[in-house]
Amino acid sequence: MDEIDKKILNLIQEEFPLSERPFEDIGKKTGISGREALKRVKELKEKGIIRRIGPILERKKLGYTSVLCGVHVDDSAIVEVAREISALAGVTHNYEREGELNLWFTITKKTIGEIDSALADLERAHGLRIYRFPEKRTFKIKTYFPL
Amino acid sequence: MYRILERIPHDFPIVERPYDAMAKKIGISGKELIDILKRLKADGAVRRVASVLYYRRVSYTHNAMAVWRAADDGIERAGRIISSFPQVSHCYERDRGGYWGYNLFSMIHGKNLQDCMEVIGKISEKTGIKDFQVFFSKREFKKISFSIHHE
Repeated sequence: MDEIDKKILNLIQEEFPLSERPFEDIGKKTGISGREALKRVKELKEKGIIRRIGPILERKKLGYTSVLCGVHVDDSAIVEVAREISALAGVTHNYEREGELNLWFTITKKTIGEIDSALADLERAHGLRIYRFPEKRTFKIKTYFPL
Repeated sequence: MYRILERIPHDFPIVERPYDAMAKKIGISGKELIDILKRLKADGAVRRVASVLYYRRVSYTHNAMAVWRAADDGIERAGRIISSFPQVSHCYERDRGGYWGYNLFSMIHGKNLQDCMEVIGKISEKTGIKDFQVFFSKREFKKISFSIHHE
């Protein structure tokens, strides 16, 4: 990854152009041709640096609700439980963290009832007590990693 | 208008005219698709159209969830201060969950532990919140973008 790649990534993390020839625009802003911009973005994707390029959605607006959950799972069971949680429809994030509640995940569904029922199933199956931390107010959502 | 989001890929094709390529498949023009996406942005259903990176591969290897106990009348101010740090990707006021007293949650990213702790120290200083906890991630089991495909 050279300086031009970094410039491109900083630019398109912020906004991928909504124009007919987006790579021309990216090229203009980074001092290269559209063709080269396209080639570089393709390579960054192939190298696994870019995960995807596309719309970043606001789930609430689309009629979905999500809950952050924290749960304590014994070390001996954590991989199994974590895999099961990751496989659930609507789970977008799932991390093992330090602390007493050592597994944290986000589950998104159309209704809170569907979320509750998925969580109740998990609790029953593994003898867990899942704590729910629903959101009350959003102050910031913006993932941007300056390179 | 939201239906269009189910009909275009979550991951755009990397070609010279990506909007034309996607629009063709659903029988509209690239210009129309761009127009719809702009409207969805204005509406707020699309926060932005952008690239999402595998941040661990661009050396942001550390992420910490820091939780803060803010006084009810100080949440607004603290939330704004926390959000002002570029290293903070998410900041929410959340329910205490019947578990603890922390009501402000933030995700902090850094290239190492010290970078994250430095940001957390600055947040504590600027907000005046001394009661907080930090939980670094140990293992990532899943991290995907929210999508309305296959639901």
